[in-house]
Amino acid sequence: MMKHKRCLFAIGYVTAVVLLFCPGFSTGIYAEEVEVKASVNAEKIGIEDVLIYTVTFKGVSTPRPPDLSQMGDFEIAQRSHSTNFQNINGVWSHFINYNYYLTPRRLGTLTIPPLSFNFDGQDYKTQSFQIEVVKGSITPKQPTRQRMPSIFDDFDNDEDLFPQPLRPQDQEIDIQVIPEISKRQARKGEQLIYRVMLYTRTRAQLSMISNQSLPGFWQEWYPVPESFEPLPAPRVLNGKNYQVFEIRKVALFPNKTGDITIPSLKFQFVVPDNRLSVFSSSRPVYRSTTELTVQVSDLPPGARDLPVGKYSFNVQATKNQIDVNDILTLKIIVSGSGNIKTINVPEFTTNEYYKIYPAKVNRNVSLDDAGVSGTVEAEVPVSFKQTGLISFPPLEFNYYDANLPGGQVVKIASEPFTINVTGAKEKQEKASTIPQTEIVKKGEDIEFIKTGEIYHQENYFYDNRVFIFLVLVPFLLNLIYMLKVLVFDRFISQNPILKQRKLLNTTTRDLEHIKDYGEISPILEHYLKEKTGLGLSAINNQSIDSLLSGHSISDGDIKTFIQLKSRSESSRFSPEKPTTQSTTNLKQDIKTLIDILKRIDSRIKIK
Amino acid sequence: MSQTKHPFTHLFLILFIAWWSGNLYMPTLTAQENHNFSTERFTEANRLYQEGQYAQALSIYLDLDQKGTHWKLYYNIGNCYYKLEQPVSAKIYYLRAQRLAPFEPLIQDNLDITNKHPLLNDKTPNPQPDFISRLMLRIESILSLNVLSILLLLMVIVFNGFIFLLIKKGKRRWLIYAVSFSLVILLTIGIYHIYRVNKHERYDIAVIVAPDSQLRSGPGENNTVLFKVNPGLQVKIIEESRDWVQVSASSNIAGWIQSSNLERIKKNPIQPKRQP
Repeated sequence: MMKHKRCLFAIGYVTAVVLLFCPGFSTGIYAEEVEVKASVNAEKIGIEDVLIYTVTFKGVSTPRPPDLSQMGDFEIAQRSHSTNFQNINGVWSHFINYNYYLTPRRLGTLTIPPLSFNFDGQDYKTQSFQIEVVKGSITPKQPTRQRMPSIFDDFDNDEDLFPQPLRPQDQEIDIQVIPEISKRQARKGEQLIYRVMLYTRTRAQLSMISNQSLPGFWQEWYPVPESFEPLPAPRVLNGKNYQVFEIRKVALFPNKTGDITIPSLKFQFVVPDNRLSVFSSSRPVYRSTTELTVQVSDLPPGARDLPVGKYSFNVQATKNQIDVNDILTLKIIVSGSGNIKTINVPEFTTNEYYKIYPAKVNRNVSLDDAGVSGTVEAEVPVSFKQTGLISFPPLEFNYYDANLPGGQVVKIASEPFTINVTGAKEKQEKASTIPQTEIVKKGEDIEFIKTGEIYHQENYFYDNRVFIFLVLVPFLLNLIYMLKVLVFDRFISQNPILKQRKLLNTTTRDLEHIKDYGEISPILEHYLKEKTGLGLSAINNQSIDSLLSGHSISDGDIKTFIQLKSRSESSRFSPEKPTTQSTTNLKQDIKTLIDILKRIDSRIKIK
Repeated sequence: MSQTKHPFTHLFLILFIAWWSGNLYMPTLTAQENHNFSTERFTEANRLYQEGQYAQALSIYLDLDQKGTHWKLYYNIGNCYYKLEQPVSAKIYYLRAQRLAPFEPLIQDNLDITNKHPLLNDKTPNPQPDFISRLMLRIESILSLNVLSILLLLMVIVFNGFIFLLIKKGKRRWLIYAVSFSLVILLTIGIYHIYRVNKHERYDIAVIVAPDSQLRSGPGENNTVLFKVNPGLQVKIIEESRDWVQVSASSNIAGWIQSSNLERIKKNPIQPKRQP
């Protein structure tokens, strides 16, 4: 018995030693080292080429996908990931590769920044890369496909799928677009995935993609990829092998009940056309999907207003202890799969212990194979009215899960929690010692509203056309006057007939405006001076008499002319007090004088 | 004799045209404005505010805002938004009020209080204006743009009156002095008027309204994120390119942001230069 026990102990010991020191077990199970590496397939590429950037995690079972949001110089054209196990020198290692097909956005030396990760409290960082991007494409087309493939590049290399006699150039156009939907019967608000699959045996390019609105659904279209990957295996349709591509995908959420029809979507393809010429040319080909009908039933009575999908829910406080004068932020988080854009998070209500402010709501929505998913995070500021242990009650979030047997309402309640509020309320203390008006000034409350009259304050005079007009008019008038002086007056002075007419008109107008006899003489002297060219000193009664007599003016007119002039001169030296009679006489004499002037004017030519 | 009459006739003619045009145009304009922009409704909204019905008061204020602008209206709208716990909107309207009444102390007080609101994430202190800027602001608050326009118009008339007399009467010493002096004043007022109009037209301050907004190195989502900015941040718009605008919050903070993420203080600003 004893011998048997010793034998068992020896076998156990040897087994333990073997297990401990056997490289396959010890390192594979217990001692795998964590590593994060990044690599690129080239350090120089063309602007039309694709760079393959790979991030490899070793020894991490479920790493978070790398965040490439800072990679501004590159666009992520496609991404994939793979997992494998390797035995290197007898050591088993677990690798997860994240592959990114990056297209450069510009020429020059572009930088791929390092990526940082944290596993089990340990920080890891990948190296950065400098990629030189030149014009055009520098990578030859290879079976390994360095350049990003266009939708049907694979055809050239797929000899099995398209044997030589059936090369696309030689065959009939065989392209079909077939719609697929995840469910034909759904609940209102339930997520459905609608896909358009391209079945093709022809080399073609998709040139126009239908993106129409689908009535009866709240919809989230998946972005159109820059390149299409065929499904791993060809599909058989009517006995023929087809290469299949997913060309459009949309997550649909029915927003009404009954039969909802998804209309036909139209697509345009460009295929080579060998009939036209010996040169390469192409022609468009149109294909449409068939209509699909989905039967949508209403949610059960207890779930009418609830979101549909599958969600998780929790409430977090940023701190467990806080000063009474500070603001606490609560995070109410709903995450999961469903129409995340329309979800409203439940809310706390203000009570005597705390005041709840309106939340800032962030929505992170992503589209993956399963459809629309994401997180709604409401950040709720809370201020406290008193100190002590303040409890927050549990919040309840309900949703309808259509995938549970028969469809069920799921209720999730958050955990209640308590915040230790400490310190003293500053504003309350000050309120007791300073007047209310001072509190206002110290920021307790805003100043009161303004009353009184209001009028449209933004009516600006400079903005009116009248203003511009009024500013310009004085300048224009001066300009016109200046032109008159420089051009018109000069022209008149050079023409004897016009000058004579102007002189008579001016003299007549001046005479009509005089108020007493004294003003007559200077006007007549000015007239005779301009008319005869004599100086003022040479103009007297005798010279006037001889001048007028010489031009066959009647004696009566000459006598009256000289009398009125003489009376005017005497009136200038001994002014008379104006009376009604004298004013009447003046007007009569002026009229007579104007008549005489008109007769004189036609006889005497201006010099 | 006739020579002494003409200048005054001319001057009176200009003044008459000015008076006649102003009288012809202004009543029409005033009637149009006052038709829908009534003090009665403003008073009604004030009463609702005093009764604590901020949402109802805001509704009337905003309706009036569609029909006219006055700093008191903007100020009261800001108050309503503040009371309704919407400090970003309150800040926008206080800034609108301040644009129309730069030296109204109540606006600055409320703006200061709003900037301290827990929901307003913009804690960046606004730069204080220097002495020259404060002097200019003071002049602007005293000399409104309309008063300046009327002064300019009067100086145009006076200057042209002297010019007319100079042409009519010929070179006289007092006339040459008068023309020179009035020209200097006219140019000074004219240049200041252009400066004020330009400042008024180009005023393009905005406030970030969207949460988690980002300032990027260029117009477009593809450009590098330079800063993350919070709602309530006051920025100056520098340039515009389609749906994107280049803004600066300070000498150190500038970048491009989608125009839908901010709200302009001036409702219909002259657009800054556009990039193709």
